[in-house]
Amino acid sequence: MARRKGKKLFTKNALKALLFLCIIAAITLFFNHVLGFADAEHTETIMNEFYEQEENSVDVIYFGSSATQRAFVQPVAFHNDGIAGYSLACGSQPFVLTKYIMEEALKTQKPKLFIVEVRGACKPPEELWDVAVRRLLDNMKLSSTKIDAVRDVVEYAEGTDTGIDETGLSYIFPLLKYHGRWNPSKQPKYFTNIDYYKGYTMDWGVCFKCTEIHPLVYTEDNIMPIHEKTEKALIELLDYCDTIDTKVLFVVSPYEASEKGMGKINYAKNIIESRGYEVLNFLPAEQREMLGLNDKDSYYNREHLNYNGSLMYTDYLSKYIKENYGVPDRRGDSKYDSWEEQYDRLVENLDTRYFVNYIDMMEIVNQVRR
Amino acid sequence: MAFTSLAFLIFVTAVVIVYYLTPDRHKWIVLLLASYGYYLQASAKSFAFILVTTVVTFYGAKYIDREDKAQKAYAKAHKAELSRDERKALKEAANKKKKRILTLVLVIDFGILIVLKYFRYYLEVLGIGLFKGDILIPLGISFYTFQTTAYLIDVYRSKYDADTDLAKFALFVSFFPQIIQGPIARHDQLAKQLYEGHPFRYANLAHGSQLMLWGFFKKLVIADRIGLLVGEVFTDWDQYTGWPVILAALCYSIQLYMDFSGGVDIARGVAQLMGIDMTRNFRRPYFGDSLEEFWHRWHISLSFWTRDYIFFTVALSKPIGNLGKKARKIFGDRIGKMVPVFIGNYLVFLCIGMWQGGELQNVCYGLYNATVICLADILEPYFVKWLKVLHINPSNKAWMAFKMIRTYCIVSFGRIFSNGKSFKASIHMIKSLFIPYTGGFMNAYKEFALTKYDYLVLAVAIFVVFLVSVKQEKLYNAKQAASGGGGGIIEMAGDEEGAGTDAEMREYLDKKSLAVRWGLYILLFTAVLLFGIYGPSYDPAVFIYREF
Repeated sequence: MARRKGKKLFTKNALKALLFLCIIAAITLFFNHVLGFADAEHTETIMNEFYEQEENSVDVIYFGSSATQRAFVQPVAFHNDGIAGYSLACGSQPFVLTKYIMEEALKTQKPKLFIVEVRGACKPPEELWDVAVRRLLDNMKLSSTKIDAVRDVVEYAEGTDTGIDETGLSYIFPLLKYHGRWNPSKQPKYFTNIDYYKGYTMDWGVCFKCTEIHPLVYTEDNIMPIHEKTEKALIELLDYCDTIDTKVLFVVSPYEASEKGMGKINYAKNIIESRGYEVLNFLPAEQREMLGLNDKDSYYNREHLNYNGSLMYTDYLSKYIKENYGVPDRRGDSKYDSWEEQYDRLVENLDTRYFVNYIDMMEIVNQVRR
Repeated sequence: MAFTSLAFLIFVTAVVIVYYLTPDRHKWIVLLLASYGYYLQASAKSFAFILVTTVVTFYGAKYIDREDKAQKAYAKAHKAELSRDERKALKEAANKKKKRILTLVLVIDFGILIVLKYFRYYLEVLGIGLFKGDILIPLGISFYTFQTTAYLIDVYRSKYDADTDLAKFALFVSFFPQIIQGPIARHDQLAKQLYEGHPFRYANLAHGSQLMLWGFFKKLVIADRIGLLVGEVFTDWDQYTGWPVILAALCYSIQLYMDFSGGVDIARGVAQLMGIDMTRNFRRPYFGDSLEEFWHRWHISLSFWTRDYIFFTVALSKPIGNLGKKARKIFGDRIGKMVPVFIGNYLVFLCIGMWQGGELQNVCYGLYNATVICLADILEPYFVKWLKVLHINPSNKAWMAFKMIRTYCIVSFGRIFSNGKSFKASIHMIKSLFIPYTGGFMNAYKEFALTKYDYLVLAVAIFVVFLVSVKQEKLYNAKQAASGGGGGIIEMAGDEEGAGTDAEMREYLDKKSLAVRWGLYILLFTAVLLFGIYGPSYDPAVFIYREF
């Protein structure tokens, strides 16, 4: 009798404890969701919209940093050349994570081509930035890919003072990082002058500005080794590229590279080419001129093309990949209507919103259009 | 593996599960393995030191105990044959042997502590660079040294028998929840609980979790938040004068209490999960109405340690007794009687000050406390007279509140020494207290790295702890009154044995309905989850960066 009573009490207590733990877990998950933060300016929309893309509908995925977000105007590439592409990039995207974003992209898409910006391969672990890691990982769905990515990036940053969470736990459970967001004075300030078009990021606060750049003369002889950890990451990326069906093209988009930067680009370029991959390098002056870029009004700062420059870059690159990588022309196929819709939205916004404050740029762009 | 880390929570969960899955008689092995595992991951390089202390103390105590028992057995067996003088001589011979071993073991135990914790500093002060590189201070060395020596002295004083199992004794020395910040347990209070297996009880899990949660609240929500303000002023001590220094000094007392007592609550909560009751180390110290009473309520296990093994030893010793007699002739009966007490007090507080480190500011901290307590004793009759002259009723609530605030200020002032970066910094800060701040209120306010919302959280959280403390104090006093205790200082001596487990608050909560209890716990959990300072810091500035 007493034994039965004891058993009953034990069951009752066990159920009570279980219920309490469930409530605690629910509260934790609720706040994890409510306070979880995604850097809206850089990646949230890009990643979320990518996950929402119809399965196997994207032919080209372009990986890189903010330069990538602004260099290739996806809707224009579709409108002019039928390229159904998506720029899956985030500001200062850590190069070491490229492999994992590819893996993530391949879960829902079967692209014909991956384009990878090489600039990130020049950055040593010391230049890794916790925020940049979060921009990507905070928006990535929880999976073994994400866990592997966390492990790798923590290992990559080991021994540096970059603010990377050494335990990696806060990348998996963002509440560990963001639980203080109840505090109104700790809320990030969002900028509202950014629009997204299949990953192309139109920051109309800056994309219509012109800054003259002063590029150094490019020479192939200038070679400077990249950090051994970054080299390892590059080799691992190339190893991964060898295992997938998707073709991979590496690019160095136009910017004002330093002497050191050029040397590192050349070093990385040699490794990539030695593995049989092509690198489209737009650092030489003749390459930039071929695109139609000029140093005076094609850039909004030293590292980023403005809208004018990006149209020229897009025009060249979309034709190039169409011809050399067999990327199909999807115009006229109703499955790809969303690209055309994005183009219409872009044009409408250009005329009604963006150009209103940037008359000079409108004239420059109209010249390009003609 | 900090108490507030996720890794520690996972570790504790695993230990508790294994503990309850293991048969009762082997449960202590689980605790020993967990404790040594915890120690090794935290301080592997200094593991040898805790082993040496454990082994030396164990065998030292065993020898003393054997010698004592042998002498007593011989005296008993030969009672008829031995004269009184012979019995006395036998006892003295045995005592000599016991004392020799006691001295030897104490020298080894404290020698390790002194060399590792203090010696290097003093050599550096003297300009002798004997050690190159950093000396590793073993994790919890002060706690386990004080705990083992207390055990040794108790065995020497025949308070209880020596432990017979080295492995079990090793558990007593290294029990993982208490190794970092105590409390300093007594063998007769803790060891048996560790050695005997405790069957699973839901109440233990519930009470342990509650205590841990309360500890997390105090540590993460209050201590670590207020620490941002305190740290700023104590680190840049030469940048502030006037009210920021006063505020930092007052806030440091809150920070230290919440941090230390929060940590001990977590430790006791972890032990409670496995049915082990560790003595409480704090009893609402800021409710003390004098510095003396404050020390009866603060870090109780250390206060009692110093009382039992330093104060009584010194104050009741023959030479000090003789000194007291001489002092009576010189200073009169009242003051003369106090001299042995004063000497004991100075030694006790020197020890308490140096517990934190050998630096001059810590020595000053100890001496300051001893001096204030001695002065209070000397001036007591005058205080009584003044109260009469001013028509103040000593039991008046406003007067009691004033005394508590006064004590808080006295304690906070002293802590400028203990928390000062150096003796020079402490003196500078004390001078700065009296120099008006000219930087403007808002400037200092901004530099403290706290937002107005942080101040609001702090105010509410401190108020919650205050309300709970008032309730605890009432319940405690009611329990003392019911059991015949009078409350106040005197009965504190008995606190270490029985009343020191917060049982009254648990009982109070257990009587509440499930909805009320769960509501409170969920509220507390949510407060820790949202308002706790933990995890990688969130800096909005980096998110508003927009130049990519």
